[in-house]
Amino acid sequence: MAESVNQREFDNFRTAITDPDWFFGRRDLLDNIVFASSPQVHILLGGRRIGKTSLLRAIEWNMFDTRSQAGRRSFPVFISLDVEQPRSLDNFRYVLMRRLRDAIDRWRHAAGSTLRALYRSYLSQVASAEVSLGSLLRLKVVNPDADRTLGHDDFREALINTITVVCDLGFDGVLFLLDEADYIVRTPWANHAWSYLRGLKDTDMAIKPFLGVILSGYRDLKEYEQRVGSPLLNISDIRWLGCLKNDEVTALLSHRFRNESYQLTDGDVDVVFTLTGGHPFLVQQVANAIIDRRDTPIVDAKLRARIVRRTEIDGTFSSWWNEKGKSDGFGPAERSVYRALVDLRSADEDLLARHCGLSVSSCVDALVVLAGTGVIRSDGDDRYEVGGQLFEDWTRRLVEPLAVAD
Amino acid sequence: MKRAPRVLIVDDTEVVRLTVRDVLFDFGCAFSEADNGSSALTLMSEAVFDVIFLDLKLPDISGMDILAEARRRKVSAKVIVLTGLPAVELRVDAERLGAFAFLTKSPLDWQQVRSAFADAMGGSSVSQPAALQGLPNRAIMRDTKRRPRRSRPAAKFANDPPRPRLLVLDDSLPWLETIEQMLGRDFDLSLTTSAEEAYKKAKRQDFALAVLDMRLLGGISGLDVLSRMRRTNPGLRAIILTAHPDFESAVESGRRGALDYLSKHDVASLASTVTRILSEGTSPLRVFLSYDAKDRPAVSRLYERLMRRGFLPWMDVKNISAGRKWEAAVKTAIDQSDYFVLCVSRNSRHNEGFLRRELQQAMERQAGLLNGIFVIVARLDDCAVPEPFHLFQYADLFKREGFNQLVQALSVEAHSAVRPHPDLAAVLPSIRTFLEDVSLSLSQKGPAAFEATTRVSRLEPFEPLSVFVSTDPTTSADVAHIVEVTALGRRESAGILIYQQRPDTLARIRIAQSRLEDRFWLIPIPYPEVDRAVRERASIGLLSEYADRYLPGADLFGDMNAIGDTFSFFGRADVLKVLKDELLQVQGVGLFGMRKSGKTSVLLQLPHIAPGHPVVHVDLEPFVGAQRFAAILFNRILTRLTSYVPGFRHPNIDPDLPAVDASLQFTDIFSDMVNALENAGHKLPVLCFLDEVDCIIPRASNDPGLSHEFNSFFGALRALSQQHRTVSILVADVHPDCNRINRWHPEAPANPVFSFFKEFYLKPFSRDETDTMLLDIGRLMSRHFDTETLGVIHFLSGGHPFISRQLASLVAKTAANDEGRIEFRKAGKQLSRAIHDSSFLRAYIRTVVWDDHTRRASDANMSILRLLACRRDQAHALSESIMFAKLTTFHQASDVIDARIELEDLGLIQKVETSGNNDAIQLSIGLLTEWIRAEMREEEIERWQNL
Repeated sequence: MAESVNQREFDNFRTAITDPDWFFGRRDLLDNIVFASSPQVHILLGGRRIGKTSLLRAIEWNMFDTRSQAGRRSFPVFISLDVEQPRSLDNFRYVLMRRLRDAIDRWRHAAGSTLRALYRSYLSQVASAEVSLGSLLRLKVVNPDADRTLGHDDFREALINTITVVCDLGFDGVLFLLDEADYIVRTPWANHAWSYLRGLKDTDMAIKPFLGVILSGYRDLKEYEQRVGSPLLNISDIRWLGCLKNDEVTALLSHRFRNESYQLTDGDVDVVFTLTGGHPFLVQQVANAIIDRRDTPIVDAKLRARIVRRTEIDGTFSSWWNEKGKSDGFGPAERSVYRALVDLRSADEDLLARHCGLSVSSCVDALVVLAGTGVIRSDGDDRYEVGGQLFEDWTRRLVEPLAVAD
Repeated sequence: MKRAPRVLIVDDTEVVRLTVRDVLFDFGCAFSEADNGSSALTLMSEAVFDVIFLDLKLPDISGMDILAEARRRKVSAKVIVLTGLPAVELRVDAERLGAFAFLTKSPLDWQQVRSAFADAMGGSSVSQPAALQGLPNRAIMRDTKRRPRRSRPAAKFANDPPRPRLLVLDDSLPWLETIEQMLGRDFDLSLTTSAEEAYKKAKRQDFALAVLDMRLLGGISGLDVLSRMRRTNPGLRAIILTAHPDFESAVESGRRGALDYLSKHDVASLASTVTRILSEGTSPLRVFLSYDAKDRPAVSRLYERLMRRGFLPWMDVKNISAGRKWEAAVKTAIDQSDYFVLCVSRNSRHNEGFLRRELQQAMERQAGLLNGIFVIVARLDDCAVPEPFHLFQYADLFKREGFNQLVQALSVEAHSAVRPHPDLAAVLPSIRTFLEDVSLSLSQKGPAAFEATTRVSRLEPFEPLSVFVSTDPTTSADVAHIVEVTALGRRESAGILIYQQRPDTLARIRIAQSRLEDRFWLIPIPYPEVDRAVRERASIGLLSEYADRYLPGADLFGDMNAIGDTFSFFGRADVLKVLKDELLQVQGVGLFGMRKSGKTSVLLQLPHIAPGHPVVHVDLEPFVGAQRFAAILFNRILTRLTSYVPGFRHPNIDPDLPAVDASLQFTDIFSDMVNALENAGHKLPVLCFLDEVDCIIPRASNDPGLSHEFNSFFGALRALSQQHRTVSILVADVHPDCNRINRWHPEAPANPVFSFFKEFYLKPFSRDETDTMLLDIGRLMSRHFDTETLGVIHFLSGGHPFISRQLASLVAKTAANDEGRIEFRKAGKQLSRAIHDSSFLRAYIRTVVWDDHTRRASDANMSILRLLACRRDQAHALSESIMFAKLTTFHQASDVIDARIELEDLGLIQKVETSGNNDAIQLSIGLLTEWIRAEMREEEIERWQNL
């Protein structure tokens, strides 16, 4: 069976959302960043497919929104470190400057009467691949392609000059959106890189009020940040992304179903929420399934089993569960706490710690990772409950495989 | 005939001994005094006393030991313990040792002292003079001239000039003692705990200044005392001192004519505040307001505005108390006024009754002045000005600029917000450069006032911006002036104040008030930051940073970076002073303390209090793991210094040069640099701050080459410091390793800065300091904490300012109601779950506090922390000897001792005084206790409990 009948936007809602009309939730987090009175260092943590890249993109278009009442509008520069894969600190500095200049160039050529149109136009601009840095620097770049590095002094000078440029464009500074920042923490020059950024943010009077940095990542980034002597320690605001709330899921589904002329019922929303726990990627995939198989009740066990067995979903769940230790997903503590929560259905950290024979602190750490991966939910007080049934079923299947006939 | 009761008073504080004598004056006792334990024991062996008043905290022997010794010697005297340490355990211990009564000194209750004394003497056996029975206690009133004080040198010559005489009223003896220590040397003090005596004294004598506590026993307000004193002594200048600074009382103090409002947390600045006020030599100008009864509401508003601007207006309905004769009071008031403001309107009837007589008296005085001005006319509406006043220049209060015209007329010289000052010439060039850097257009509006349109887009809605420069301590009157000038008629406005001396408490409160009431955002920037920004070509960066901080929406609690902003920097006055003194004497200094305890902030503040000295501040964090750093650091130091002498050119030291050669080259260049600095008028020594020094310390496992880098770098600096005395070095980090390790590895030469630095640790804040910081920042953010919330924040943070601010940030965001009030019933739950809900705080405690000891393999440190955290009885401290006995079963005794000292230095544990000499200790940081327990399984906790 084909995994999906229709081809939809964002590769059937499997890739990051880059359209303001299709982004739902995360309002508090967005406001916290967009309406900040000064650019800060933020670390956004979350499990695979929880929506980190989408959130960075949302920050990007919010910063571009000229009608926004944001306290400070920083010029956003989205950089996927997993794609760029800088080789050294000097190369990393080059990448930062290169992408900043590219973004400025694209912004200058972008046009649109609405934010959505403007942002689309911005994304669709082909950056004039090598916007010359020479005009900005007294820099001897012999061969930019082969020797793509920038030393401290040149980078600093270029950044100060570019800040002036973005201010002339009506922005108040520069905000680097560094996606997949785990890439750098795995390199041997990670300390130098983050120390360098920290130094700019902490003590360089000419730069610090104009520079913001947002890093996204998962456990490697979290553990690096919390290591003794980590340059990221105590300078950044750390936020875990979790599942969407019920009303956000409802809004998302309404939009999706309206767009595909499907009549949404309250029952549909409840079912989707029960199955997914509000995990945005799962919500989208279940929505695909509902729309694709309009005549099959979603509660149908076969359909659920099919969703779970889809290669991509199965791969995602395997990566989360990480029983073989191949991904940066759960460790023994997270798996143990998740299983305990499945047994208890709802519990606080003390009860779970006792149940698992863990310290409260280890238990809290595990709960944070589980909630940040989107497989459990916090009630906002001090109790937790299991998230989506799809993942719960999948973990049960590890013990007692579901017998589902195709 | 009965003999006089014999009383021994044992207390190391003279004011306490004198106070007890005063309180018991009418009992006719024969007093002996001892200011230390040895003298007390000697006196007890030489004479028989009926009653002994005994302090527990003496410089040589503890009071408890004296009590025990008295019991052993079977001393018959009844011992009344008088202590500032009101712990319940102490009371129990003292009573067990035979103390007759246990009284506290803070505050001292005279009635209790008297009744305890009477009881000790057998109740009726000591007769109290009938005349005094049932009457209020005699006041404790002494003049410092009655007996010489230890803190003040005796007058050398008979014709020494008299010292200014100050009246000090505070109901707390410890505070009187503190004030006496701060002011006793330079001023002639009259100290009293009684408001009644203060009135009498103020009536009988002239005082240069009164220092009045805001809250007195019996619910009396220091402001009421001031008002009453001014009835008989209208020119009396006064400042208000309070342990509970708050918005309303500060504003009220200004309204009632107090010249300053000082928090007791800032008591270190009391002497300078008094000196400043006295040196200004002017009382607030007294302004008589003459008006028609129908204009009373408008004139009342004028009265309030003048009060806020630091004047002392007089208005019949506000200043004449019930029972006083109206006409005589008015006549006296006009006589004593500096100005007579005639308020005219269409309602005015100047030729009738009292108003006519007022005018007549005023005109007679005006006529006696050749060139001076006494009468000023102020129009309340667009009325015709009657003869002969139409010949006078007048101010139109109904017009936008009218009030400022009036203020200028009253006294431009005395009350201009930005007074010309000799220092102004020195700072203006740098400020002008700064303003030119940040401005699209700039014009000068006065000697110290500018108007600018800036290049900072956040400021655009408020432009053109008024910029004021203040070289004197900025007062509330200055702020009021800025608000008046800038905010008039605008819905929202902003201004910039570049100040050289930190605004006083009242000014700070006025700034907060103007944010709330006038929607006026004053952006205060310390001058040294402006100067630094100009040198580092970072003017726009600086203005943007401060605009972000002071325009609405900033979370000043959540500040993660070191604080260069003097306005947001609290406490540490004593440390700053000591560091400055040491550095100016070219003493190497090590500043240590927990991560985020504020070391870098202290470094950023030091240049403010050592003006004129070139400062090089190098953050060594980027050099962690670097193989070569000496030459780079030398170049960095030279580059920074070049900004002080822009014309000076020096060769760049080759980074590849061997460290030893680089150090020789650096020493030569530095000598030339010093000459250039001196020629440019800068002071020596250069202050060199090396932050995060741990990052370049060679570890045993490192390449030996790093030892050469470190030793060459510090060897050169040490030589310049000790031999040439041209540079003072300050290093900062968590631990003093750079000062304690002699060799980095067995073959390496000795560490040139081994035992070179004098070590200082940054200690946690006291409860009062925490409260002041949070309340003050809260005011700027329109957030107001209740006392309980403040107490819990202090407990959880252990007084560590960074943790306190993070906790405050947490509750300020989510627990504040619509009025910005943060009440414990809502904030309490969040605070109780902070260690679980805030991943930031958990990570901070784990990495900064715990992993730091793990990394250093400080097993004994961790054992102490675990032992204390797991105790069943968290309310009480653990005896140090018990802790020692428990831990030496599995740690070396010396390790436990070292661990105890290190943890105390870092502010993680604190000593608690108990009975006898046996100190007890407890964890300082509530969050740390919670975190350690959360890290352990139940059985582990039990194991530590049963140890």
